[in-house]
Amino acid sequence: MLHNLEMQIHDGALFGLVGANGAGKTTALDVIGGQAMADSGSVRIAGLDIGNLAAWQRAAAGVGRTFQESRLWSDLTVEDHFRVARNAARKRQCDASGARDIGEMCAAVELSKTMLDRMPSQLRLLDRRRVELAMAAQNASDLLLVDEIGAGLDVEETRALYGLIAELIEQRRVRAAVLVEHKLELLAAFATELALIADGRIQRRADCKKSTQVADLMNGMFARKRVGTMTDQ
Amino acid sequence: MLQTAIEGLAYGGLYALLGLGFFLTYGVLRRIDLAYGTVIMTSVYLGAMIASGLGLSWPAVFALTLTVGIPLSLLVAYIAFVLVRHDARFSMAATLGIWMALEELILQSPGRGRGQSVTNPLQDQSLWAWGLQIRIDHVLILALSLVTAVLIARFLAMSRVGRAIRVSAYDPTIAALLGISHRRMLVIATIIASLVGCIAGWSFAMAQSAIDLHFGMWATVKGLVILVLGGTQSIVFIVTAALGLGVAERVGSEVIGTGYRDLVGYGLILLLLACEPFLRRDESQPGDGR
Amino acid sequence: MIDIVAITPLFSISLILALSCYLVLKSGEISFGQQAFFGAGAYAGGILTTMFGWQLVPALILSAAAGAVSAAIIGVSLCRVSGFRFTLMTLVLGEFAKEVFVKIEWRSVADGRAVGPEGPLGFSGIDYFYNHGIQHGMQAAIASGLAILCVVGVWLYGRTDPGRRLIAVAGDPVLAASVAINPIRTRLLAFTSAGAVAGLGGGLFAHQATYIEASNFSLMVGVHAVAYTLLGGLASVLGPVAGTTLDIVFLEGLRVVGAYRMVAFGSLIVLMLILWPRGLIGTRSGGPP
Repeated sequence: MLHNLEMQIHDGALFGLVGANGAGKTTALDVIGGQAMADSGSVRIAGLDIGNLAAWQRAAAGVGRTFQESRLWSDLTVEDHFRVARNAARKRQCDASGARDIGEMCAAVELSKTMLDRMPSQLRLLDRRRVELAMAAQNASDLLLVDEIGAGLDVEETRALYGLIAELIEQRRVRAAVLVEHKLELLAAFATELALIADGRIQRRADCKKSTQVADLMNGMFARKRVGTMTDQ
Repeated sequence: MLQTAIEGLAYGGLYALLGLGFFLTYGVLRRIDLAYGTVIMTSVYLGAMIASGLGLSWPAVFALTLTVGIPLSLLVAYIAFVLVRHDARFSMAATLGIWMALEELILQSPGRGRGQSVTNPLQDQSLWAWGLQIRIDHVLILALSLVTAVLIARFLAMSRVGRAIRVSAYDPTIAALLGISHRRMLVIATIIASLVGCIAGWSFAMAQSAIDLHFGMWATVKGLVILVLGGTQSIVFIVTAALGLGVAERVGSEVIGTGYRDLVGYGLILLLLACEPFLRRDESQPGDGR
Repeated sequence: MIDIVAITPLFSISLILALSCYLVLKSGEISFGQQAFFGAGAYAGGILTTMFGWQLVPALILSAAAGAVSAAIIGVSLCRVSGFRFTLMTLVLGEFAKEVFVKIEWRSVADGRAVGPEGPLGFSGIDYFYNHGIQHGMQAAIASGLAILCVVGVWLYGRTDPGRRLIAVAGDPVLAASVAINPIRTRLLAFTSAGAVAGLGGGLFAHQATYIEASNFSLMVGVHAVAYTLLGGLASVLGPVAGTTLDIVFLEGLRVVGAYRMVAFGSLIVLMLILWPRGLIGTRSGGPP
């Protein structure tokens, strides 16, 4: 549940959204991506209100996302996944920010081309995440929503994926990204700004260039954790 | 016109019973038993056949119907809902296979699928009230349906088992945590649904003085339609929808012409169903994760 | 043994209807109403050749179009619902269409004979094959040719973008929407195509049977077509082929079980669903469709 959640994501931002389990991180992404509808409020992208659009229309408007649990189609090969994502995106894309062909999609996420004819069940988790990221990025010319892409991966692998996302932004394929993560230390290395969410509200913000703010936010997060455990008991 | 409406109420009563049968199985298991009507038909058919072979009268038909119907329903439920595990669509497909097989068995039975006559002790007995001729058996069917509906509603609302069934329908996981056995609920719901169906099939056969092969598909289709019109929430809605459909069909066919009864009936239902997705507010899709 | 010339048209027509159900099943839904589009195609094709003297090929094209148009009309609403509601709506649609077919009455005179559908009396005298001297062998060739055309068409559909999108929408609608796939349009396209396939089959059926009536398009016809597909499996277009072969060739053609064909067929479906739910032709990746 979210209450009065207000987020502004600027061009070129890597917006890190942190918080405890159940704080509303995924819900926030759902409301932006159209997987859930907000009861009130608006979602704007480059001034355009997309709050009333269905999820697929938001994707067509330039919002891509990945999901917390790894989601791929068990009946399609990796190549088919890329085709589906690319061709759906291509129809409306005039700024051509996405990859032009499947090879380029592989390259953007450093996925070996030998994986293309595999089924998702034959991929290791890191490669599944790469496929998901490539598909989401294909649509995400304006905003990429990434939900705990490192879940189930080790720190090195997660770092590699965040590196890919940073690169996508650098190359202007994606204008901005929101990263949901609960491993704050990891995120702080990549994000440009951070926000701590709890009880469906943004509790604190931090500009990552200012280390004191980040430290404050971290303290805030751990303070809440301690309070949380105390009230739990 | 009023007379037709009253006749429609009697049919509405039958629809209500059939709808309740689906309400119970769909309610508990979220699964559709397409063989429901055929199982009822088979039971009444065999009941009537055996009874006429032994020279027994109508109460025996009912007893025989139940004797065949309840074990048969349990068997179908076991095959389609326990043995076929995959998902609701597969279970539905399995009931489809059972439906085909049963119909063919009736065709190959000594009755050859031809109509089996059922004696109606109240045949041609009518009540005269306010200048209207009302068939007594129609009144009885309506009364029987309403009483059954009320009993089921009371049972679900009041009794321990009834509440367990509703919890099981609401969330099987919670039900399991509360120590409610899903399979036991399935058995109970199946027996009640079968009982209700047998009452409907038997009273239909009595009112028509016969039962034939077509009753199976007819009962399934009508019962499903009632389930959709009445929703899966409340028995009151089910009964209202059933009575409404019964009356609308009869009165509609009198206004437009008898030959158009089914056309108008199905047309209206189709129209209702087709408009519904557009009237519904865009419901939010379920989010993933938390 | 088996009379190939006699059984081929029946096999082809059943297969075409099963392919129509296969396309719908690929979108994750069960339709018990494909016989409505089958019937629409049958009446359209029959009317065109008998009453208007059309040639077979354009008449069959119009049959497919009749199926497609009627599917598209109902599909606009149907593709917004799923699961139980979808199935029920197709079931009501099928029964409604049957009632409509009973009412189709349109008589005219062609070549000095009264022709056209006669409402409850059915539609007789669809004698195109007879009038054009097309023998049984040739009829079987036409029927199997059309069936092969449909098999190839449905196979190709699965290998193009609309087909892949359909699998995507059926497999995970949320994921599909997140990559900008319009679920309604995707399903509507598949449903319309399924309607076209059924309509084509219906046109063929009308000319093969020479006499059609509403009861030819009963619920059981649609149910059978679904059963063929489920029996064969949804993994590929070979599924409906296998399922149809099993019933038509072995149970109907070879009369393995005599008069108890439906008992055997029904039990077979149940057994398959219990033991081998993926159908005769398994899926590549596993898991239920």
